[in-house]
Amino acid sequence: MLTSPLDVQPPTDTIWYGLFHYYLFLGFAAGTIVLTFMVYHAVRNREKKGETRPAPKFEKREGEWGNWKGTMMILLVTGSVLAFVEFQTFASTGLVVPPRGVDPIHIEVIGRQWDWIFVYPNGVQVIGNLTVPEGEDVLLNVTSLDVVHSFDIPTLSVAKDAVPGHFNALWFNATELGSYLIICKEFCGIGHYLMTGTLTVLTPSAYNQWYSSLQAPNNSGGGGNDTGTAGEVSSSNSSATSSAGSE
Amino acid sequence: MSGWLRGWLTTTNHKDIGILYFVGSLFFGVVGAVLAILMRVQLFSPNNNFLSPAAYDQALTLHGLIMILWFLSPLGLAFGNYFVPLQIGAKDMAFPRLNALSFWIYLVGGFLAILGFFLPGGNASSGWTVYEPLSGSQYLTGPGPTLAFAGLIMLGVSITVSSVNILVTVGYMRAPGITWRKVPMLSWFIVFMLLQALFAFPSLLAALLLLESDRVLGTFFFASSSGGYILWDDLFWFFGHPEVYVVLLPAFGMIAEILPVFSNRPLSERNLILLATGALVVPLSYLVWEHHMFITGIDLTEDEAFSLSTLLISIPFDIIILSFLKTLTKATIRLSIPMLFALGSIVLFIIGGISGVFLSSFVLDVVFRGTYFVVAHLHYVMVGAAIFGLFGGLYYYLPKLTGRMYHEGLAKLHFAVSFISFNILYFPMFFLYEMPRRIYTYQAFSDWGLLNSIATVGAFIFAGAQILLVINLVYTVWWGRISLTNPWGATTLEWVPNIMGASQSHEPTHIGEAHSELQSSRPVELSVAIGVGFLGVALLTYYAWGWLLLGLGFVLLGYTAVGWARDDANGVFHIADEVSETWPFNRITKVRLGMWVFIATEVFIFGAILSTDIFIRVSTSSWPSSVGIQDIPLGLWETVVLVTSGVTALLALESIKSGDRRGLVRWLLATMALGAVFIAINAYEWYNFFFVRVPSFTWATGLPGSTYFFSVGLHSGHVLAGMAIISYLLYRVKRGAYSKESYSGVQNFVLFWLFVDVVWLFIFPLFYLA
Repeated sequence: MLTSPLDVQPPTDTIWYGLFHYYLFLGFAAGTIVLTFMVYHAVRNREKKGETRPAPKFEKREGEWGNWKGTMMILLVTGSVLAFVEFQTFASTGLVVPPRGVDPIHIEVIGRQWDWIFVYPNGVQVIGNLTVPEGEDVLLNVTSLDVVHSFDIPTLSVAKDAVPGHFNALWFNATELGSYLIICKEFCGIGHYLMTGTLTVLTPSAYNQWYSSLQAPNNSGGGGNDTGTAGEVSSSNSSATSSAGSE
Repeated sequence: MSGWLRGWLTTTNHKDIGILYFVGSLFFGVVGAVLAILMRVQLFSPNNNFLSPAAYDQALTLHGLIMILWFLSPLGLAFGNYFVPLQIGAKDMAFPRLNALSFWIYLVGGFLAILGFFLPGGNASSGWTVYEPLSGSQYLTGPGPTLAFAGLIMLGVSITVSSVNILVTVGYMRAPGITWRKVPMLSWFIVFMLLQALFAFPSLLAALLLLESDRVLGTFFFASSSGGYILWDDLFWFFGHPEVYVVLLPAFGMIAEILPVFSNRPLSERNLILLATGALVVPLSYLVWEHHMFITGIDLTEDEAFSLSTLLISIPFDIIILSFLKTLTKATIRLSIPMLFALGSIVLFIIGGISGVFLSSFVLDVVFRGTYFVVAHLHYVMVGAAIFGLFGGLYYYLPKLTGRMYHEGLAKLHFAVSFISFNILYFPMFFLYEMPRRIYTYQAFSDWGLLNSIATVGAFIFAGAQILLVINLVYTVWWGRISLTNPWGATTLEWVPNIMGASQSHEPTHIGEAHSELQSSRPVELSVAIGVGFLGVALLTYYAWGWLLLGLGFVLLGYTAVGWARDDANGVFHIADEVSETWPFNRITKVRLGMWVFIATEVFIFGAILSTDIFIRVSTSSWPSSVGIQDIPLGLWETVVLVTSGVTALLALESIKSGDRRGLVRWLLATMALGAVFIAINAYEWYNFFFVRVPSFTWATGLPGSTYFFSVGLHSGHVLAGMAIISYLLYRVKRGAYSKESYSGVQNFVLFWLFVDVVWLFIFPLFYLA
């Protein structure tokens, strides 16, 4: 479920893997070069059996400052490589910054020990199941009622911390129908490992149908989810929110 | 008590303390390893329930804390204690008794952290990062966590005291001829490590004091919804990232010692390595902490800035590693055990370092953050690079430590099995980059099960390999063949016997002998007193008799502090103060430099706490005007009194400088009186806030109270400490101390007192006027 390949990569995933491959390629290349250099010299310069070691002959300055031109060369090369990957990272901020010019669907995500609660634009709250239409931009506003959580959809390569008293934005565009795992990846107490949810991606028409069924009074369906009213969830957690006593 | 045990408990000799650090840190290493094995067994297969979730969470928390803070950092200090004085030709540490104190505080603190497991409710279970608000008393109940965090405070104090001590030692105690250019690499790297620790640990100490105040007194620093979580993140990671280098740098120092010796050539680019470490690694490490917070909700600009600074810090490491490798060229290499470990450490650091570049990208970090990719990365750096380097150092110095040679075959097996099993253990975790850290168990989907099983098998082999090290250590001590004085042909001073007054190779330390002037029971007594007091603090919320323990702790503390001062005054254990002959410390005395370094840490502690106050104030939307709460004229009087006391303290110093001992006594008494008036006004103020004012204003009524009482209380504690020092000075004056020629004790006191005055000049406008 987590690593199943998708036919159409979601845009966030495309950005992430595009960047990852630069790092992987250059990191692998750098590691290979350095390790080969090391092993080559360690093996080649090994003391042979029965060989008497020649006394080291070095100019004094060699042990201290050595070859500064070589140092500059190496700095230039590694500096360029690092500058290149950093530039690629700066060019990939589309993963964390929502695209402009489109009107995304706004959904509020509330983490609490140990559930994910999703609040849809119409104010209806659903526990544990995030339902979105296929191929449309979704903007999540992530927060927490108690401790720090981290909202993570591995398949889409998106994650954001859920912190009390503050909203963090996260966007994605699910390009393929299906259901995907949502997890919490910041340790949040004894039930941390149980704090999972499901992302359900429906066709736009199925989503509209599902969304309008949410609005129906006293609905109990909602695609088989736990639903409730806004007041219900927040009142059951009032003990957690009113604790600070600060303001 | 047998003489042998008494000897070890009271020794202040740096070699003895070094050995104690070796034994102590390896003991905590075993504890941490047992916890790790428990965790790996739990993660062996999906849906496993070998441990309970509560036990697993405690194991993961204490594993991290113990391994990083009670095993790795002190292992570096063990080398520092034993070899830095030898390398620089010093007879001992600058402050031997404080050195003993650092060890015993460290040990007692570690025992407190372990004791947390056996208290009702168990130990801390918040992850080693102790993230807020999860680690507050609201979510993490029970005395165990409070006790473990108190243990952490003791550890922080221990490392700070060690830092002051070793830094002053290197600054002051170098033998004639050992210029800064000639200080060996291990000593240099220990200096860098401790410079790092000196400014990083105050941030942790401040954060822990605030946390304990939240947990025990009921203040709101981190429980508040006004960004308490991000406050903790900032304070913790400002400590946390430099701490990585505290762990790593001693290992690099060891590698820099081992490489040239076994390559039969000088270390390549020695100055460049020192420059890269001292001028780039150490300062930059304080500027990268927010890369631990990329997805916490900081601004994109901050993301970019910290991503860039993190990338920049890889450049000095690049220089260091390539210089290490350059030493292998034009060399004749002996692949002896220390060399194998050093090379292994470099290999693992390269892998760990490159994976760290991935994590510097705030875009890639979205996926990697909080997953096993990070676990793999940090273990490659902390376990791989640090442990392999330090174990290499252990083998390298074993002939020096014991006078005997280790078992070659066993050591080779230890290296080979460790290196292979290390990679079996941690490399699969890179592929687990979608599996969150710190989950108790996982579902049976995808390939997590297989990768975890491989890692667990690797963990067992890796742990087994370390048993070979223990066997080898025991073998070496009892049956190893007698080693040459300098078996490796090294050229540094510690291998040269009996030179320039440095303690001799294999020379038995004075354990079991009667050297009363070099032995003191005060460090152990003081550490136990603090430990008892902290146990009381942890328990008093839950059991009334916790107060009894706290009281007992205070009594013991007073008793030992007085005993310590009396020993000092009566010359039972007295370290002569002296002026160094070498630049740049040829103008001030040893103790004075120690005082300055200590004040530097204090500046960082108060800096962290006052920044916290300002942060909380700025991020709280409605802050009551202080005019409605504070009695401003009273605060003004406090300011006037304290500033005047600064003047009288200076007059005391001027009196003794001109030889007027009666003037000294008079002005010291005046300072003491003004301090007492200050405390009295403060007490009156607090009394009003608590009992007269309606509604009462206490630390538990809100954030304004929390910040005010904590900051002012900590400051008053310093004033009281200053008054205690005045009593000590007066006692010594009565016994004939201080004259026109020797007044450094008074000078050091005045320095401290003026510092405390200056802190108040920040506190007063912050709480009374704004």
